[in-house]
Amino acid sequence: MERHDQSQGPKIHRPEMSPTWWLKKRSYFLFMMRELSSVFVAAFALLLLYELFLLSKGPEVYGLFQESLRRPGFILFYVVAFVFSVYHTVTWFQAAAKIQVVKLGSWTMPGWMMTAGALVAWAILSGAIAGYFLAA
Amino acid sequence: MNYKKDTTEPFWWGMFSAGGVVAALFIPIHIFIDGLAVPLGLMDGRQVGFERMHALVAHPALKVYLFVLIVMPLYHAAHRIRFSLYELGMREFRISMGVLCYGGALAATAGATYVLMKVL
Amino acid sequence: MTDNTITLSVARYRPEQDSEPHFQDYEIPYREDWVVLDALNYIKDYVDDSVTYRWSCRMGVCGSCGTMVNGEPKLTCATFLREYYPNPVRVEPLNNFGVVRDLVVDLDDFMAKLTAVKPYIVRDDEKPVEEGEYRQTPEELAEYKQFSLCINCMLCYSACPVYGLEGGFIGPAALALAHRYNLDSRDKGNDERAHVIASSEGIWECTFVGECSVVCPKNVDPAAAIQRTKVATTQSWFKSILMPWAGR
Repeated sequence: MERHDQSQGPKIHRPEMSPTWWLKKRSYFLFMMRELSSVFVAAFALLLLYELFLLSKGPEVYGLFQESLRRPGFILFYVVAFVFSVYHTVTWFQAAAKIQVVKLGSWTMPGWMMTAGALVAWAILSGAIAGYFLAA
Repeated sequence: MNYKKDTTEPFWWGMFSAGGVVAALFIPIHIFIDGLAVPLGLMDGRQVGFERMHALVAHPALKVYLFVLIVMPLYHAAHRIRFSLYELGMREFRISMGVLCYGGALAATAGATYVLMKVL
Repeated sequence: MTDNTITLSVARYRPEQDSEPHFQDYEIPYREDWVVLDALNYIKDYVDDSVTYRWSCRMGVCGSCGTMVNGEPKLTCATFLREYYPNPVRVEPLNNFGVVRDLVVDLDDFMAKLTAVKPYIVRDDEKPVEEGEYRQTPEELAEYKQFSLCINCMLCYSACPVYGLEGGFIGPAALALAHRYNLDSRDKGNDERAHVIASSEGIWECTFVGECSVVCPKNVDPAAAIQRTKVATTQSWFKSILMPWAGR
């Protein structure tokens, strides 16, 4: 699709971007995957809310739902959602390191160090949450 | 071109950022516990079973935690979905997309408040 | 000296005769120390003098030779043929801009946006020349120096899908330059720029694809400038809501 500006002077050629622009370059594709990760994160959040709602309906209903989570469809969804959520975590801390400047005196902390630090904090936190739910 | 300072975007962007942090730090492990560890038998199902979860959720601190865990990532996602739809070529519905995405997040917030405060 | 040759595929668009751009291939001598601009100059001087393109300084300072080279926005004066040889090199006008002729793009939109952000020092009151210059410490200079290195080559606009999709977006270079002056200790123009920068055509349009910073030949990092402006604008917005008595 093209349009030509012929109002005045020579006509200027103005190409338009196709809706598949993000498939044409690796970095654009990864950007779109980063944005897509939010869809899976949101889907999980809504599913968790539904699960809490079922918790109010008593042990049978809640138990049935817990049971249904073993179905291959659900497992597949959770595997994909888990991969995307980790991708979100990694890209988020990479992005944050580019935005936030940490200075100690005249020394500026390099971005990779901030990302690594955030990932370590994330791992510890995840371990603590898992520990909390594992503790009987 | 006359430019005008936008007075609503800072709020939505602030929610997007805060939600992004919550999603980055807390969501993966919950997906893992809830959807993988328990169903695949890596973890004892009773630990997130009815009795225990019901008892845990009774505590206000865990209610607040679950509220933040559920609601904040939705604002994060609403923002990203709004811009992504536009970038994928749905350019005619610019304003309604904002209403749809943020409206959805607000509705889910109301839902989460209801479930956590009233039902449980 | 060798007798090797390389093919340059040059996008041609002559509005008086072409309705669409098309490629024209030129087989020219290959020299290991030639940049793409040398190849274009060879074509212009010895093969086809109708090929039109912009260039000036040949040393990555003037910012006028920005061109798509094999699909990537590059300065032709800083891109060596040897990076591509023996494969052909495809040369096209910068993405996301209107094409005036061959490799020459329309600058009007970028110039208007650059003007809109007031990329110069704004003072509340100018002091008389006799009182001397506005002084600055090395630390104050370091605050903004990186963002002052922009040469207006527009490679960042060419790499930015948001600009390609939404032509109203003020865009990476102009927003980075606005940030540069806002960070300058001598500048008082923050408020005058705010309504442009923090408009819906400004920082909020950006989705942090980040490619502007990847292609920048001067490591200006416009993406960081824009995100930092978002953070600052958001913080002052929440502050004005939560603590209205604290002033703007």
